[in-house]
Amino acid sequence: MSEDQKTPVEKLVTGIEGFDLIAQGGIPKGRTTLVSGTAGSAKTVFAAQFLAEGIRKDGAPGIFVTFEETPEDIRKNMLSMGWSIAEWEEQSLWRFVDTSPHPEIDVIETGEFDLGALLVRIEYAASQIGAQRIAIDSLGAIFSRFANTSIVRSELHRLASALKVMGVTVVITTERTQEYGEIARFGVEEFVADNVIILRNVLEDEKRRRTIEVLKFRGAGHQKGEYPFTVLPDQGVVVIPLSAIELKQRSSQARVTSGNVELDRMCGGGFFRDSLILASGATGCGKTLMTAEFISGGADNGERCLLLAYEESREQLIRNAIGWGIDFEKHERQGLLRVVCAYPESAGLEDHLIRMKREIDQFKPDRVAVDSVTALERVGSRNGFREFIISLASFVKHHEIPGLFTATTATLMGGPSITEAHFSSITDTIILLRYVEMLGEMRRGITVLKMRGSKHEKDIREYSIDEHGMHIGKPFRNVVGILSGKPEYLSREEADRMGNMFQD
Amino acid sequence: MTKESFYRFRLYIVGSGSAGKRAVANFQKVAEIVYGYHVDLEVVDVQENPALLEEDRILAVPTLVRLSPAPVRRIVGDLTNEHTLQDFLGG
Repeated sequence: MSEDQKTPVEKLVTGIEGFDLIAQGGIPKGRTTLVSGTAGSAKTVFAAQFLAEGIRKDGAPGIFVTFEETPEDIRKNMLSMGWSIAEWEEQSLWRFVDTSPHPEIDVIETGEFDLGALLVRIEYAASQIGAQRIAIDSLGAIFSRFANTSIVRSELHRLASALKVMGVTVVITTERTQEYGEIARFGVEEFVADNVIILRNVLEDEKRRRTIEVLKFRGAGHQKGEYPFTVLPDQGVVVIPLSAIELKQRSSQARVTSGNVELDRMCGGGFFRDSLILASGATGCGKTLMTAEFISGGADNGERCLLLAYEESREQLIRNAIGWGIDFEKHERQGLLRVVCAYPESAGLEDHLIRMKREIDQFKPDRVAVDSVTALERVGSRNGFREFIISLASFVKHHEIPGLFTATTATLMGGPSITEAHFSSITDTIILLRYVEMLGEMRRGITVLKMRGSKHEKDIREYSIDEHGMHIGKPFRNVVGILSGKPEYLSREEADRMGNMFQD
Repeated sequence: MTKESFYRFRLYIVGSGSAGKRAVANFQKVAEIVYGYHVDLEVVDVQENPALLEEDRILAVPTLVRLSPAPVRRIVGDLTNEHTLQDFLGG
């Protein structure tokens, strides 16, 4: 053990997307890591993926020891992840050690025994293909196979130390009965106590939410806490790292246009190139218009623009834009615009996030707009949504492109929304669009509430919308309480008096 | 088919282990009682024949496998309990 203290623990990159980030470079190399989770927490997928990524990314052969499912089932199930295990078996990159229960083999026990045969089989398989990774799925199942659990217990101890000597990197899965409670059933963590990962599948606000947590890595660093993950058909486990890891902010002083000359002026010369802009307002007050102008303003300058829309269909979007004098289809033909429309309920929050990231990675836009983020709020739980927002924001930021996100306020006259609550601290710019009721008439007001790193106008200005888009006019001088949603009309005299009060 | 080849057994042991030696002795003793004659036993040392181990999907040692007559049956342990072993051989 003294040797462990001297040399830092080397990590093995697992290749599982996002996981290596939260694990700060992977799992301890040459060690055993316990992966514990309840039924349906994707333990088997994780174990299989540990081998699959090793093969695909490193050509590293692996052994899959299965105590529960038959190799046939695993081959079949993992095919949907895009892993052709049978092919790898032919290439001697993958080997099963099949210890799944056989219905025809009825085991009777009498007297002393040990699990020496298991170890011999693992060692044999490993030496045959030169295995660098071993996955054992799942340890708890072996306890239900033998009546004498004290023998099983001491044998697993022996197995764990034998695996250590082999120098391969091992992932052992095991069951737990509760999402929050003892690490694993049968106390198996005591055999492999050095490194523990927990997979959870929690029901929260009537929605399933998967998280992964690195509980401990002996002698090695890792991110703490739970991180959301999802299981995708063609990819397997994809972990979603939050901002803490990805955020390498580099603040740019370069400005880009908001697509509206007057708004640019209000912001002190446009948005910063690597900033996040939140536009918040009630339904119908012009958020989609702002998005359209933002996109069009970029495309007119030859920038690549990505529009992710969750409220309207493509046809609606294009038709609305035409109504404001903006031709999305022209930009698309020029290859400067990609419009992705998705129905919020069509997927879980994590899946949406991964799709958004993929679109950004593939299209490589110079600016991105999401209309609206609020539409996605109803898909996930409160915590899930918070993580989604942070993760999305940091991802966009990471790409150093401006991101315009719209949020719909719950009430017509404004007021806070969940989106705003989670977003406001990480956005650089907040723009409020508000209805203003004045003398029995609905009017619209816009203000730049916050503009990080720059001067900006503090006025609340009236704007109108017509076939040429948004026209920002004069400030409201004789109304107070617009932002609180309770506008009050002041007489001209009073407004002048109040205006003069603060003049030097 | 002769009586002698009707019953076929294979016993997996770790060559050096005492549990294996006990299992061999216990088997010979009880088999003689049950069948009334000496039954051949194929003893396999797990360390010497890992491929066969994989084929028979052996997990624990000692494991006694009745290869014939069908169905294949198996019993795990050093076979110290004579009654259990008798049931196994007779059943």
